[in-house]
Amino acid sequence: MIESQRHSYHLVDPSPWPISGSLGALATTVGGVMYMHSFQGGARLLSLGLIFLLYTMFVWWRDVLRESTLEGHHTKVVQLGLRYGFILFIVSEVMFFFAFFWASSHSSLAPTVEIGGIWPPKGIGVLDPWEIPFLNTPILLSSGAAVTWAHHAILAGKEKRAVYALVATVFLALVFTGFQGMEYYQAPFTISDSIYGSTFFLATGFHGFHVIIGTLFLIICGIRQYLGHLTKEHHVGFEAAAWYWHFVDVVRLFPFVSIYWWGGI
Amino acid sequence: MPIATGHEREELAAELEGKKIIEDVNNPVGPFGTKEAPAVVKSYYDKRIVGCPGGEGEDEHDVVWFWLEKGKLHGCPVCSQYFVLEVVGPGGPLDGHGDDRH
Repeated sequence: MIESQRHSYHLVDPSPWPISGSLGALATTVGGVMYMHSFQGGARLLSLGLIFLLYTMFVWWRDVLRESTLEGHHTKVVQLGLRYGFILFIVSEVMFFFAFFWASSHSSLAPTVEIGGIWPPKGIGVLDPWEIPFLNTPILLSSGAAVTWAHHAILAGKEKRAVYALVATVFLALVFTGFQGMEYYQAPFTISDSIYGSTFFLATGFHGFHVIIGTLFLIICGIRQYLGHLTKEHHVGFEAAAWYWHFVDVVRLFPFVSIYWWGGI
Repeated sequence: MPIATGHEREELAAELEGKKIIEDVNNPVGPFGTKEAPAVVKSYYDKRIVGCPGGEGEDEHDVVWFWLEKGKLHGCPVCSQYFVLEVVGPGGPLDGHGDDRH
């Protein structure tokens, strides 16, 4: 007889984090607009909002880890709900990126007279797709293979090996981000150089930002794996990170093929 | 037994013992209940709300909700399916007073 609770669902306790996160997001948006329009105090409000948001993210996820690992609220049906939720989140991310590739294709498939009727636009010097972009693609894909290695290690109950595999995954992720930073630094155009620069940095920039988020997610998984939080029966956090990482992997192929390669030659 | 605590651990322990009490209570299934062999619905208390969906296929009807009480045979007003309550928990009233658990 299950004594502590008469159902398997997790009824969450009242928490201040939804409202603090909302206020942080509001301050970030308003502060961001003020900052970009050179209003006095804009940078201060933006910084305050970002600090608020980061703090909320930290304490909220800390609470979730306590509820699952230390209080045992994440039963089978709760884990299922978390998976559904995360899959829906990734679906929404797919649509988010779809918009950027739509913008890029819209501008490049029928170039307007303003950019010389050609793509890349007249006067834009583009990056060679067969240098850093081609190197970085297999680096990120290898990182995706390494996270699968980690997954198999967790399922086999090889805890140490899972940590090693996650270290390898994160290392490859950091190499990718380093190369991407180098590429941005050396790029002969900026985000304000025609529709080419705008679509290029919007798509690759948001992808790079997602790589950084995924890297942080994987680092947290590595720490939790090291601490013994993840078992072969229960590792939803790792699963979510791995799905996210594969998503980021697949999204990389689109800018490589359509923006760097097709759009750059 | 893998590393787990709280309700998650209880769920895993019940599974290891081959028990699935929560599923039995939450999703009652079985043959159509008659007056002689009524459908048994498990409950942690002396009464609970039950919905009758009728029989299979053509005999299905919109769910009719009713209170099923301990020791009282209930007949569905639409399809005359019969139900009885089996108390598997602590029993007593279910008003929740003095119970700060969810």
